[in-house]
Formats: sequence, C-alpha cells, structure tokens
Amino acid sequence: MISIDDFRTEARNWISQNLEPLEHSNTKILRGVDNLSAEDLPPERELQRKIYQAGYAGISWPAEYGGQGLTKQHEVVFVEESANYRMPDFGVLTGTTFLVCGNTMLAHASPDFLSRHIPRILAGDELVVQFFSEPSAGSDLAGLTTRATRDGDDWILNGSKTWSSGAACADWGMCLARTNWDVPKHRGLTWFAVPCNAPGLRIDPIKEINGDEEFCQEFFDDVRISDAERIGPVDGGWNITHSMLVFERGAGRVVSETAPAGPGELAPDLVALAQRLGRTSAPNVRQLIASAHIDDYARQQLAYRIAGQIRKNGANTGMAAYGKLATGTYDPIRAQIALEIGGAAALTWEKGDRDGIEPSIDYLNSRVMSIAGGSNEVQRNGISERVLDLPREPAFDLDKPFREVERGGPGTEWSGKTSG
Amino acid sequence: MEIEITEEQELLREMSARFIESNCPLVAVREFMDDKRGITTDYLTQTAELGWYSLLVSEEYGGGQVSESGISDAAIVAEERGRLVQPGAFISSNLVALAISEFGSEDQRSSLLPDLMAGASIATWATADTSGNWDLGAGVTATRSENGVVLDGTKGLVQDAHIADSILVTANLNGSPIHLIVPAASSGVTVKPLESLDITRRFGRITFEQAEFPLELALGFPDDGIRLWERLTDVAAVLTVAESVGALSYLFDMVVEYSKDRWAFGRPIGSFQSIKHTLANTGLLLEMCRAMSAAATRAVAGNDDSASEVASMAKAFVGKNCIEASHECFQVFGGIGYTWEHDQHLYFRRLAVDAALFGEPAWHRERICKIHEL
Repeated sequence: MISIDDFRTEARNWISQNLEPLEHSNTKILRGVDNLSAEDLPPERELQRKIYQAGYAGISWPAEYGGQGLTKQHEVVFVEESANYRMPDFGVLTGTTFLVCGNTMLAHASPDFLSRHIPRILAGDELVVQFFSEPSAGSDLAGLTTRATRDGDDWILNGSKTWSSGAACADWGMCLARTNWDVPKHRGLTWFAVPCNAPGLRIDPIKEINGDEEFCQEFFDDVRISDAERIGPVDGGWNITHSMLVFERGAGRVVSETAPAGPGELAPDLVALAQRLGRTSAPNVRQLIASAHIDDYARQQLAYRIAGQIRKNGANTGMAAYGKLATGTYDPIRAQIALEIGGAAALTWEKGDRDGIEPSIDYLNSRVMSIAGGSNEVQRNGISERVLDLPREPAFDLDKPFREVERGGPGTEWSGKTSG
Repeated sequence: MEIEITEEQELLREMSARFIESNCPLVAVREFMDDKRGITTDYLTQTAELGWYSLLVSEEYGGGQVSESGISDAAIVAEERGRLVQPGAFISSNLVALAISEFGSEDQRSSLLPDLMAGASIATWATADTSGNWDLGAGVTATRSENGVVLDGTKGLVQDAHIADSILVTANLNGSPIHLIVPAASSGVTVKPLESLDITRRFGRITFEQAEFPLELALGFPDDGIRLWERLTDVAAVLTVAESVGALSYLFDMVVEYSKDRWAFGRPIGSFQSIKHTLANTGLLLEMCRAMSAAATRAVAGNDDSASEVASMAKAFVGKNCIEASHECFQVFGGIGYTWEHDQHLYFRRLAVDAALFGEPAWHRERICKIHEL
C-alpha cells in the first residue's frame, strides 16, 4: 500500500494540475438548505468522474467495488490537500450519496448489489437520496407504513415518503418499507434501492418557508422492484437504519485529525451587518457579536472533541448526537442574534439586495437542523440513553404486532393506560 | 485527541486525585469551611510535595513540569481540584509564581520562589477592584515618590487575602500598569476578610493607604506591564476554566446517578423525558465546556497567536454555561438540593464564583472585541 507521505505528494501534484483553486466566487454557500436544480448537475458529475478516473474517489472504499482500498488516513490526506480546490458539489446529495447511503450499502448490501451500484456512485452516475420519513412517521420512524409486498422475485411498493432532500435530482433512492405487519414495529422493516424513474413512482417538490424546493414527497403506486435491489435481510432493516443514522450523524465523515485552526475572523457576517448600520460601538451589539463568535468556535471545538472520542472509542450514536444537538440548539440562537443586531433594518430590504435578505433567510432556516435528520428531542433521547445510560420511557407499541398498534386518526381516543 | 495527556501527566492527575480523595474529600472541605484560616499548613506542604506550586516556575529557578508545558500540567491539577471543590488559592498563588519566574528580578526569584513552591508561604494576586472590575490596574493608583511608588485604593475578590504572605498588586500609574509584589504585612496595607457566596474558599479586600514601596518590588517595570497582565489573565482563564469543568463534571455525574436512584410514579425519574432531556442539554454544555477548556489550554500552553482570544472565549463560554448547567442539575435534585447537607450547593456556589473570577463572561467578550479591534 502506498505510504501516506507518497500518497500526499501524488495527490498534491494531481490536484494542483487538475482541479480549479477555490475562489470566493466559485464557492457555493451551503447554509443548511440550498436549492439544487437539475441543470447544476452535469458539470458536477463530470468533475466527479474525473476524480474517480484519477483514482481519488472512494479512497477508503474497497477496491473490488471501484474504491481505492486505502485507509481512512489516506482519505484524510486527500481531504486536506483538496481543501482549497473546487470539489464536486451535489448540494445535499453529496452527503446522502457518499456519506450516508454509500457507507450504509457497503456495510450491509450483497456483493452483487455493491458491484452494480458502488462503481456508478463513485463515478458520479448514481446520486442517492434517502426515502426515509413519511407523512405520518418522522421521529417515530419505525412506525412507518409504506409497504413492500413480495411478488415472486420482485417486491411491490405502495405508500408515501417525504422530506427527501434532493430527490428531484437524484438517480436512486434508499427506501425503508414495511415487509411484515405481524411482528413488532422494529422487526418488520426492509431496505430497498429504488430507481427514481421507476414506473408508478411520483416525486413532487415541496415548497418550503424560504421559497426553495429542496425537499420532495414521493408517492409509490405499485412500484415494482427486483429482489436484487434489496439491501440486507428481509425484516432486518432496523439494524441497518441504526448504522445509517450513525453515518448520517457524521461517523463516516473524514475529518482532519489536526486541531482546528485559530478562531479566525470575528463573526464576519455579524460585524459587516453592524458596520452597515453603524452599530459597532453599542455595548449590547458588541456582546452579541462576541457571543456568536464564541459559540461558533465552541461548536467547532465540540466537533473536534467528538471526532477524537469516536476515533478512540468507536462510533457511538449517542456521542454523535451531541454534535447534532449543538447544531439544532445554536443555529436558532445565532439567527436570532443577527436579527437583534440588525433590528428593523434586518427585516426589510430592497429587491435583489443579497446582504439585506441574509438575516431573514438565516432566520427562516435556523430551525432546520433542530428538526431535520432527527429532531433535538430525538437527539436528547439518544444522548440520555446511550451516553448517560438512562432508562427508556415506557412505550405502548413495542411488544405487539404492528398491525395491532393504535395509530390515531379521526375518532380515536386514547385512554393513557399502560396496561389492561 | 483534544489534548494529548502524557504518561507523566496521567501520573500527576492520579496522584493529585488520590491525595484529594484521601486527604480532602467533601467532608473535609466542609470542615475547612469552619476553620479560621480555611486551609491547613499540612494541606499546603503536602500538595507542594505533589508539585502543585512549582508547575509554572521555570526549572532554572527550581520549578518543575511533568510535560513540555507547565500550563497544561497545572490545568490538569486545577480540573482535579475542581472535582472536589478544593480549598486554597491554587490558581492565584501559581499566577504569582509564574509572574516571578517569567518577569521577576533575580532577587525576587531567590527570596520568594523557594517558599512559595514548598507551600511554606502563600501569595495571591490582587487585580480587580471592589466592584469586580477586572480592567488593568482597577481600584488602586500608583504615584511615583522619591523612594519608589505610593499605592492608594482598594482591591476586591482577592483570594486568601487573610493568610497571604505576599500580594501581587496590579496598579494604575498614570494610565500605565505597574505590578508589585509586596509583603502583606506592610505599612499602609489593610486586609479585610469577607464572607463569600463560595464557602469553600476565602476572599478578602485589600486597602492601600499611602503605602509606599521601593521600585525593586516591581515586576516587568516599566516595559512589560501590559504583557505580564495579558499573560496572567490568559493563564488565569485557562486554570479557572479547567477548575470549573472539573466541578461541573463531578456535579453532573452526581445528578445523573441521582436520576437513576430516585423513583417516582413507579419508575426512576431518569426515565422521564423531561429529566432525560434536561440532562442531555446539560451534558451538551459540559461537553462543549470540556472542548473549550482543551482549546484554551492548547492555545495558551502553545503560545499561539490567538492565545489571549481563545482563553477569553473559553472563560466567557464556560463561565456562562457552567452556571446554566448547575441550575439544571439543581432542578433535577429538587428539594434535597436546597438542603445544607447535600453537596450540590458547594458546586452551585463554586461555579457562580468561578464565572466571575478573573473576568466575568461580558468582560471577556469585550476583550475579544478589542483584540479584533472592533
């Protein structure tokens, strides 16, 4: 295996000769939510293919599926070396494809499945979206009702998925469906890969409060897929969901092991805002700016600490949940600080004024991470049960066949009794 | 990792922890509360044998570190001390030792350091004024006299003022700082012991009335006054933050255990989401405080360009959030936490005072704005 130092030299040479240095003008600012459109994709796919062909895609993924079979450390080196260059940007699909779905498939799918999908993923030909939450199953994901029914060598899917970020631009979806209604909820779920252009699958964009259409809702109407597209065992989907959540919360992310640099500029967006309004000498504004700057740095240091803990003690969904909870807690605080500094001036702007609109957009987006990908409450449950070792709340649905679980609806009354 | 702990540092931690657990557990801390001095000679000499007061003194002058950085060694001790809310002016006396080692004269080094490091004498830093203003030289003015300087004014929040043998006083000389190490028993110096929110430690007020001292008692004068002050402020922040993190860690462990042991409505209260979520939020604050403590220790120990800024960031963040976290813990303890016999109030008190010592969060936030020339 190539040594880390040689790999770094080779990667550095290749990168400097083949990639475009990052300049402010070609940096897309991904602020939690971005609006990716299908027209944006072809050049990004081309760039991904170039990196793949040069042998720098899937650096730590197995060679038999088109990866490079090297170590995480090699991957860290590439991330470090390419940090100031333009890399493929598939918006939210970058994370779902390479971090979440790709890693989950590698951990659980059959060799046949992997040799069909992974090389195409690495080449930029398959972008993968998660078909995960449903209109009636979010935090209680295991209570989902999209069903997959066996039909010979195929499965027939019916139901609906939602909050699928980037689905309108994706090629495949990784879909969790109920395959058994006669067992408790966690034991009757199975994962499938579904082509986004499958007959019977309709993908509708959802317009969000910021005017974007990043999320989608999908409607499955007798969508037929081959059993070869199943990921992991029949009815064994919940364990896979767990490992997917670990990846989603950052376990597969390649983080540089060196400590983050110094604190950098003082909250540049907030200072610029205060300067535009001539408020930099107001004591309360100064306090707010410094607070935001400190919180930003504390979040960065927390991420570094969590990465270190995970490297040392292995992946832990509870530990990773601290990072997610920090984001869900501090994003709204930071957005409120901008509005407070800006006062009335942050609430109105002339059409086309990008600086003017920013605090409002940030404010509208500030609760995205408190809800998306597992709400703050779900993170708190994870932390308290998996890090602090506190007991679970009693539940009413754990031990009965899912078809007998009360699911609410018009006229349903709940007694609140735990037994009898 | 966030901080690489060397084997020798781990040994220092273990020995310090073992000493504290066997010689000064919380029962003993409570006994010290009724003691006139608030600390015993034995405690001081025994902890001096562990090296507690030598860590920030250069080896050249008889000091000793267990790693490349005495500051990160001292942060380890501070964290262990925080866990069992130890008495004594560990931070203050180490700051004075650091000031002498880095900025003192030959004479000061040879006359003061040996006793300080041996725990045979106590030194403390008088920096804030009586209202808790931590600005450079607050509260005491210095005027040049024929034979040196004359100090006038009062310093507040001076730890262990009542038993200190030497006082490092930071005064304002026509808008410039001057630091002097003066014997507590000097003419014109009056020490007034005060009662405090933190009953595990002692604080006092020191008044200077026409107190005249020769210039030989000054450190870093006239050129290094600001540099010395910045240095002491940074190290004070690192050590206070480490101590608070130790205290909050212990308090948090205590409350998590309590939530498992205490039953209500037929189940442990730790199974209620209201309690679980409160504790998860508190755990998040603790983890972030730990991360910030590590960052500040790294930055100041490594003399980074951003050392002062990161030290202030940590002090502001940890000060504010440890108080918040201690309130959440109090809430989970419920009524039992309001009783004198329960230990949680020792932490509730300690964390609130730590937040203010060596600069409250707002003061450090303003310092950060100034560092960025905002």
